[in-house]
Amino acid sequence: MWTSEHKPIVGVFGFSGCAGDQLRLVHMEDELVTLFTTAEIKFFHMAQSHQEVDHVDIALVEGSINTKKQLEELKEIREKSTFLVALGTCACFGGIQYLNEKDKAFEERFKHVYGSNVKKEDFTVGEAIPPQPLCNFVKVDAMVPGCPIEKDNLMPIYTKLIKGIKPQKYPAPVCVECKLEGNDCLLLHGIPCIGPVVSAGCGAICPSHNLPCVGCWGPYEAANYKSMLNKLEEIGVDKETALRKLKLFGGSKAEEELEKVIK
Amino acid sequence: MNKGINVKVLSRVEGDGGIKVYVKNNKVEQVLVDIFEGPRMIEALVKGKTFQENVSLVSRICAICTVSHRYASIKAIEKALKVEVPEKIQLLRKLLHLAEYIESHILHVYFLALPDFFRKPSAIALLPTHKETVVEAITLKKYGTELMKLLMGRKIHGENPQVGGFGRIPTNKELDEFAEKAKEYIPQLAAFIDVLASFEIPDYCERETTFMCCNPPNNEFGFEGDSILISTGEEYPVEEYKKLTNERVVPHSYAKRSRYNDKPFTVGALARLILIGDRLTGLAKEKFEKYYTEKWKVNPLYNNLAQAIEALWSFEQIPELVEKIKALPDSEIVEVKNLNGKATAAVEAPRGILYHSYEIKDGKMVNVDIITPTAQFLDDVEEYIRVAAEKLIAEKNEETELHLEMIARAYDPCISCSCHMVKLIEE
Repeated sequence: MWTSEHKPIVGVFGFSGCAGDQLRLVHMEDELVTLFTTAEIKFFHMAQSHQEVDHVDIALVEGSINTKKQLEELKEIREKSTFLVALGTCACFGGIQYLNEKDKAFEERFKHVYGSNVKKEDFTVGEAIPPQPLCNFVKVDAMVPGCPIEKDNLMPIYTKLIKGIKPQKYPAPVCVECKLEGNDCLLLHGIPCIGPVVSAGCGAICPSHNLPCVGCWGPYEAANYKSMLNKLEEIGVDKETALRKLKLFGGSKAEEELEKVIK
Repeated sequence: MNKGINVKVLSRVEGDGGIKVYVKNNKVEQVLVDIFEGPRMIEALVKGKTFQENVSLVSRICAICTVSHRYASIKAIEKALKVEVPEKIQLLRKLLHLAEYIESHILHVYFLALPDFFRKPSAIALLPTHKETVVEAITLKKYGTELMKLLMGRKIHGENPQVGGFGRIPTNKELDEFAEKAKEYIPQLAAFIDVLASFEIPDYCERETTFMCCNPPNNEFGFEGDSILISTGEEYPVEEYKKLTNERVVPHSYAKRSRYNDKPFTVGALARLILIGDRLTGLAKEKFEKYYTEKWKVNPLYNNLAQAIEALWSFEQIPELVEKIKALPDSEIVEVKNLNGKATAAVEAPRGILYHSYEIKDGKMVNVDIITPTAQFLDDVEEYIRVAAEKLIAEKNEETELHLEMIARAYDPCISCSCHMVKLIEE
């Protein structure tokens, strides 16, 4: 890590996604000035003019990798950074664009959107490749999932990092936060909530608004998918619907885990 | 000698793009607004998902206009499935949409566009010299994002707005706080508009173009409508959106491009104020009448001022709207009974018309077509950059790249929605 004697240099980078994780940083109105003054933010296209950087102590990287150009840039960021944080569900797990990637859905979607006579190599802005999370290509030092990230799950990691302290993981499913909010369990009322297999950090917002968890924080590390599928079946959700719900925001990790369970 | 301009990364915009201007013998040969943002192909991946799942997915197209996407999606679904929602739900959605206008316009005008006028890299870099303005910007933006949080569940991609209603309806007390604060912020923003209007707007990028916007009902000003007004005097129902956009694929952009009658056109705040600015009310009307000139029709840099006036109008609507909402009873989410249908809906996202066109069968998405504002105006941006680049190169302007970036930035492009940046290239 780095010494806390100098202000750490931070870079914020964005690949394919909605830019919501970068925007969530900009939406930390109360902390915005501190965010920009406690560290030296040298690269943040959304909020400031372009700068060339040789090295950053902390790289916050949003989005999935969807083109060959992005892949080269990611490798360059990894080489030039000390600590790389995957920011948001797209960077951590591939995001919604990963959906059904195991079934080679990418090629078909490309044709559907750009037409069957348009070739991937025709584009001059980087050839499209099936969307992948960052960890499929480079070492990721910390993951902060979220769609988008929340202040309360980024800040404990970020404040430690800028002081040169290695952060801890956030190892809990949505259910833990839901209990802390004092909510009645929706599953007990027959509502298909997938909170038990989804990473916490959002504050269990959907159940707190009487709505089932859609899974946008991505898979909880120790998720028990088998038990989740059984529970969904028990309350009358057919298997196809259950799998679709679990994959919606689950990205690469959900598809891998579900493959094991189904086998 | 042959020269070119290459603004590698367009900064202070949402998403990843760039501008390339190819120059030969001091003549601009080609302008390309490159969109590097990788394709996510949301329209294809929502096929086979339920309409509720579709709402969660399509709102993720873009973080800055998440509300507009969610709103357009819910409107198209309810139109297709003939779902009628109580007036309170309709008004709460309208309030949420106003909150997004405040969030998006304040972010763009103060944080993304304003630093250029002071030749600073960011709004934060303005702190030492313009602390009060920066604090005001942060306060006003926070108002927008906090109101979004109240109604959506969080500042970005909240799931609270659903087809048929809201998961949780805010209390009157919660709404009152925002009505009171809006009254407090109106004079602040009105005073800022006078400052913004005092900045000199350069004339290197003047050319005529076509404008389009939704025609809000009851001859009122607003951000939605079932038909599209065009500056040519024509009006079309939203169902004919394909005729108005004619989307095509270009190799330098994963965002598709649009033209009307084979010509580029403009959507967004400037288009709205040019077409229906005479319907504004209150202080926003005063400011518009004071600052509007024929120059607005030929120079996209006036979009910043147009956005500020719309943000003011949005604040001014909130106290009265909150009173109306409070007087109406709460309601549960309306149950959807009919699961088949087809419909197109349009709302005005802060940066222009947003179309969502759906076909739903047995409650699942069969066909989804989404046309975003940035995909509509990118051709127009390229044309303005061409005009400006020719003038700036001829006068050997030392800040050519900055000026070209300012044009692209003025449109407030949302590159994630569609794709982002500028570059002079020596051949």
